[in-house]
Amino acid sequence: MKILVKLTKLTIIFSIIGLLTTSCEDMMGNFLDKPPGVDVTEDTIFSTQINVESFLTGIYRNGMYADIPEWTQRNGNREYLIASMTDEGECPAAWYGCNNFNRGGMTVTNNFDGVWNHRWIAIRSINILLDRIDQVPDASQEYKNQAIGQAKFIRALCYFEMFKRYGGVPIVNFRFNLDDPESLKIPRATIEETVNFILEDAKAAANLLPNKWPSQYTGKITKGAALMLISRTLLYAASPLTNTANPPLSLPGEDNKLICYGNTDNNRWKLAADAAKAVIDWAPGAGVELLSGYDKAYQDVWQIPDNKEIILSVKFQPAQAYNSTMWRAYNNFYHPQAGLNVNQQWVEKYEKKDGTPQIWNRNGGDNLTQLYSELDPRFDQSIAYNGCYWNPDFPVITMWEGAVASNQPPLVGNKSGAWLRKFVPPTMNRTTPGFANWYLYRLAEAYLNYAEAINEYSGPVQEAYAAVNIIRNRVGMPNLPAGLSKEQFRERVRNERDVELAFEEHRMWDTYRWVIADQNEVLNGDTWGIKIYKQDPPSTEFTYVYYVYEKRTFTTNMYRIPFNQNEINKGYLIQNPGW
Amino acid sequence: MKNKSYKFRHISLFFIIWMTTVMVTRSQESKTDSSAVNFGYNYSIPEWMVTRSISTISSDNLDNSVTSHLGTKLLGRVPGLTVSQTSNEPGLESISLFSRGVGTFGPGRDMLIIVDGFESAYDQLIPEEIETISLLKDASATSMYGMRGANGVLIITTKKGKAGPLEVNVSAQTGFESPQRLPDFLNSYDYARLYNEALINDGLSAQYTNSDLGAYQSGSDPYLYPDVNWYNELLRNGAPVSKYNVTFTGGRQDFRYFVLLGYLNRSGIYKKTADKTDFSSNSDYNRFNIRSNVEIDLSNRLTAMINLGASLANKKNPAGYNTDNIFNMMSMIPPNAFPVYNPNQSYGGNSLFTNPWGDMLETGSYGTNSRAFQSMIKLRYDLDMITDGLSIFAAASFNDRFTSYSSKSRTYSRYTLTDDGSGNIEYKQFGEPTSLSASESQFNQWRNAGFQSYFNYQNNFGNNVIESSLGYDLNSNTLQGERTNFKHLGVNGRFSYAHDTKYIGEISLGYYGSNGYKRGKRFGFFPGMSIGWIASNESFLKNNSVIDYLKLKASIGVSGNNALGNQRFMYDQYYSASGSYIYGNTSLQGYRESTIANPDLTWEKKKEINIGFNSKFINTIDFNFDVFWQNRYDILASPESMIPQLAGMWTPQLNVGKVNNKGFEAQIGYNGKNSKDLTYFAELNIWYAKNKITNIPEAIKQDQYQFREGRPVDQPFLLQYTGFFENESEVNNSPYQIFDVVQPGDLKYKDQNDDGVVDELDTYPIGYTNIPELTMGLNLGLQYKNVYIDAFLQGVMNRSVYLSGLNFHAFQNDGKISSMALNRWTSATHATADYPRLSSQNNSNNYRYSTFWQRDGSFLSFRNIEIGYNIPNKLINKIGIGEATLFVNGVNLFKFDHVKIADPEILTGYPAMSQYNLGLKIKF
Repeated sequence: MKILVKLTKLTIIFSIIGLLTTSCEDMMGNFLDKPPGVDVTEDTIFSTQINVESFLTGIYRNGMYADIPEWTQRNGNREYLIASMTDEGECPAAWYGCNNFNRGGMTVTNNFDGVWNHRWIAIRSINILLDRIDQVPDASQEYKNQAIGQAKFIRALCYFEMFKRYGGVPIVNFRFNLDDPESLKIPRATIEETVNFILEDAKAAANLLPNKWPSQYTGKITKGAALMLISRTLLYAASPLTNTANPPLSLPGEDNKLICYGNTDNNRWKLAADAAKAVIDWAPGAGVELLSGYDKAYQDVWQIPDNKEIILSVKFQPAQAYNSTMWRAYNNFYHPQAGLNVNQQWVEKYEKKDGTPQIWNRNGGDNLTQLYSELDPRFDQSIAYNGCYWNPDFPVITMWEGAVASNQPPLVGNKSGAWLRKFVPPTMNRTTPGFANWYLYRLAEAYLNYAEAINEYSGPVQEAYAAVNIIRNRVGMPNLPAGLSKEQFRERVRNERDVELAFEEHRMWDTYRWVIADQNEVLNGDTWGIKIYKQDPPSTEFTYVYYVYEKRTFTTNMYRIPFNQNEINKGYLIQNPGW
Repeated sequence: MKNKSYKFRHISLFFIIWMTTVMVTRSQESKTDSSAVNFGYNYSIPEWMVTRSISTISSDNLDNSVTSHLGTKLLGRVPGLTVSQTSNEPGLESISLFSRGVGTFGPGRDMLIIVDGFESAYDQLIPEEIETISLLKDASATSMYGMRGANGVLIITTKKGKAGPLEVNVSAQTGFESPQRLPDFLNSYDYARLYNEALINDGLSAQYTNSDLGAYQSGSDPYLYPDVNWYNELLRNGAPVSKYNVTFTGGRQDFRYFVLLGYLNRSGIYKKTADKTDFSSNSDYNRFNIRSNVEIDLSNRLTAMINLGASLANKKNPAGYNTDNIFNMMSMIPPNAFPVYNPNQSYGGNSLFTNPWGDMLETGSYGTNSRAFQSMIKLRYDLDMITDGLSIFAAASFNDRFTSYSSKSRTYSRYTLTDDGSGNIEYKQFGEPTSLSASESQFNQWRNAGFQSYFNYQNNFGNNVIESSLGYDLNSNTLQGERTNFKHLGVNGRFSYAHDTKYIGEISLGYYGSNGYKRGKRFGFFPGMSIGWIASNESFLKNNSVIDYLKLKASIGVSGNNALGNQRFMYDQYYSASGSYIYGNTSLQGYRESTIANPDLTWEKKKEINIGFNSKFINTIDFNFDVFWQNRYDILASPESMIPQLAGMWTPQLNVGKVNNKGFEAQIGYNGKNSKDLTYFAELNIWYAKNKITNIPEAIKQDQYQFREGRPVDQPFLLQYTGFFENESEVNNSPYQIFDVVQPGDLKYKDQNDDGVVDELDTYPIGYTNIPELTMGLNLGLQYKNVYIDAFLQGVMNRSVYLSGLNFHAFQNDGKISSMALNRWTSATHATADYPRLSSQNNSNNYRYSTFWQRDGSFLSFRNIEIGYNIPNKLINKIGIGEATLFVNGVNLFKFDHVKIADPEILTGYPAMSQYNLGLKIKF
């Protein structure tokens, strides 16, 4: 027993001595080591094709942009459509952030570009991918090329989104590391350099991408999408906002090249026209064509997901219920404080079915239903108005003063007299969710791009008329009258663009690039609505009264969005003029 | 044999030079003062030799309230320990502990809590099983805890047995508690007429007609014009509480034990519903505590100590695991939304809200079962055959806490009553009745396994005293949801030397490693040093009539904080799943780069200097004072605001932050004795800490006031309210406020940078955080013959609270209106208004983060008063009872504060309670 006790004593003492006199790190370091786990490192990402595909999906997630108002950073923390910030419409309630924009509330701390940070995250991921894609052992050359093509497209798309807002932006085509913080401060590139960077990426992408993907990959970027991006970029670059030496507000000296080309060159329109033509020529070979030949073809473009006319659609949201944040910005009949109000000055853009402008009396009138029925078919297929059909739950929309539908929830009053119909699936109701398809590019835009560009370059030649007429004929509208001058044709093609691409996030940027945003009744000044009154029986007609429901503010400096003040304070950016 | 013992002597001498200390079990033979201070590594040294900054209280200082969290008893009790309570629900009290205020802006601010030498949960302990609670405050005291000690260490020691005849202590108390303050919402009539006013303010037409208002006012039709005060419907006035304990202490010379059995019950403030339906349960909390601490002398050199403690708690609630949802609904549902019951006895309700009473009766019951388990075994072996005073210890511990959730839930239907005026009554149904479905899937767990082994050396050579220890310590924490444990490993020790009971010097060190860092950067060295001088033992003060005791002390040390926040292993670069994208009809997972790695990642460090004195005057007054300066550096912070966003990265956490913290603790006590029968005492503790950020990565700002540097941690930045807009011309002539269209009656904010626009750049640092800078605890007591009175007050200052949410904002988010809005701005009352003009819609201007809604959060709280009567011995000795005390106490009786509309500590949710108890303690 005594020996046992002594032995225990010795063991304790010697073990303590032993432990203390060797290096803690060496001996017990293993105790503190991290056990092997399932963490993903960069090498894991680039070790198999499947992993690279996940990384590429992450790039899509951060880099692809849609106007779907889901209130996340991907769409700029917006819960409203861009259409609420233009003469297209107005958001449903006072607390939406777009109201601040309409009051001229853009500041250096609130520049309404919540996606800025997200784009750079995507660009960094793209740069990492381009760096290491060749090292993936089990990926075929075709896969690698397609991955590079998709990555370059998304990089070009991010740069395009920045170009159309800010002008020239810093070009980052490599991966930063933090060892040299000064290397992070890349200055803004000029407009020319930015546009060329976008084109370079998009052209490379176009060469590497397929025309069409297998159906389980619908939504992946195709060659046509890259060509459309080239067309749109060149069109915007050739437009008066950048294709000039005198932008609305200038920066001193050479810095002016950050926001404009510094000269006016008509050739830029030719390049734009050629690029648009390239899309039109590409389309048949890829099975892309305008939906046409039947009455509701235009409506089907936005109602049938992934139809033949769509070149690229974005749908990163699963189907959402009618009262989700997303749908509340569009629809109205199932949820209070929901739905986009369509402005009356927008309704005025729709011609009559015979191709002449509709006659609206700004002092009021008493034949509203008659006037609505005479309009371009695209009116009924984009907009919901008093007396129209919505879906089996709401077969007749009632919007006159004092109307109460028995099974409608209390609505925030519609200020403008019309609701947005486009994008809202009529099958969606209280029990059936709706799937939002945002299409970034569709073939109709290529025709309009072409018509506009050719007109600017060489006047209203036959090709220009042909392009516009294809769009008009699709819905049964007659051709444009012959013998228009360049300026008249310009107005007609712009109106056609407004009507055809209504609510698809074009108007905002079109008014910017045409430098008309600060004109009255565009993004500035009077915003018109109509109040509708039911006439006493036996009349079935409705009386309308015009009124200005809002006066908006657009100041000249808003043509170039300011960079966020925090970024300016870091000292590497030159702020846009007027901020 | 002689050779071996010679080697032992050399080796042990080597260790003596390093350091050793005396074990508390040897205090029986110690030649120094019997009052000893416990240091957590289960050694203690006599109080006169302590030169570090430590606050100690014994469990006698803790009050006799019935509470399910030990932390509530520490409010204001321990100098230097700032306690913040933000929730009062039984079983879910939320308590944060801070030692010397907040010293860092980094992610880890929690203190280390040691129970019987090992890290453990502490909230389930009851005072009857606790011997002492000590707070190690300064760096020389916490350096032995290495990189876990910088935020302070709270050491709780449980009771031990003592040799002697069995002593049984029984205590029983029962009482009730009732809410101190409940929100005061307006009734239907006021709600409706003010809602009309709000609509008109917004340019809309009024919703309630005069006949509607008349019906609300008269209450003539409680079904179609209901007026429901949900707090009255759901809550009762008082909830019973009770607590019972029995402890057994005793032992022989070689065997000593302490056993405790305890039970407490704290009912919820909900009305009792279990007897009304099958689908509900009462809101209740019950807990059993068990403890058995045993010491056995296995031989005359080997002693074993086995501590086992466990608690089992059972919480039941209707309508949810906690009361948050019900309290939320009570503050949200307008009084006229629907009646509790419809005329046909169905539950009222509408499409937006369920019926809270119906939820309580019909949606089932939710049970939370939590168990905490502590076990420790320690062996001590006397090595006095090597040298006198040397002993060696080994201890192992396993502590666990496990919470599981089970529920039986269902849904029910509610109905909206509509009457179209011509006698047609319609009930519209919402919700479907379903049967009960059970769920037992969730649980939460925390485990700690630890092992320590160390030498102690204590000896006296003439008038020199040496107390020292050297040992090693490793532990591993497992947290629910973390794949990898948190592990620490290290060596620690200290050496204290006192000469002539006048001059004291001490060195301590910890050499610790943690698994949160890269190999090669895991270990750190944390030294500490302190000196003391007992001036009252010097010849010139020895016989001083005024000064009985005066000790001056100073210390300096370094300790560390290795809490890393959510992200671990940031020294390696990882990629993480980041959202998904839909191709075709399938959703695929995407990946992106995670936070950029920082391979040089290390822990926060704190250098601290502490100077103080302990003194005793004229035999009745104690005065202790400590003042400290802390310098915390290497705080993790992300330089996000300095790196251009075009880097596209999640910026790494770098060790670049610095915070200064300074303050003092003062303790003044007076013990008086007027006659043989009357004794009284008063003790005032005050402590103060103010911090300042001295380095934090932040972007260059245009205005000086926007910088965080130079301001306290978590300084609030708010818009500054300057008044109401009185008329349209004032609106037009004032700087443009971008948040919303403003009209007369809206809040006007100051344009701090004079750019003509009021926006986020005009937020200004105003006010304090909700952790007070100054805390005061005042304990007063008096005993006359057999009657005693004990009162405790706690006060805090330099604290701000912020009123936001449904309880304070009128009509926002379709909510209701509280009485604080009665004095709202109208054109008639504009001169005296103290609330903005009402708005029926969400107003983006008035309810912003601004000084209008910030309140001074200082308060003085009457925490505890107890009056007791010690039943005279001659009455009870006959029945074998040694001592008996009968007492009544009141807990949280009053609060004097600036908020008034809500409790300044617990602004919303389960209310703060006042508790009244009657109890009896008996010792056999």
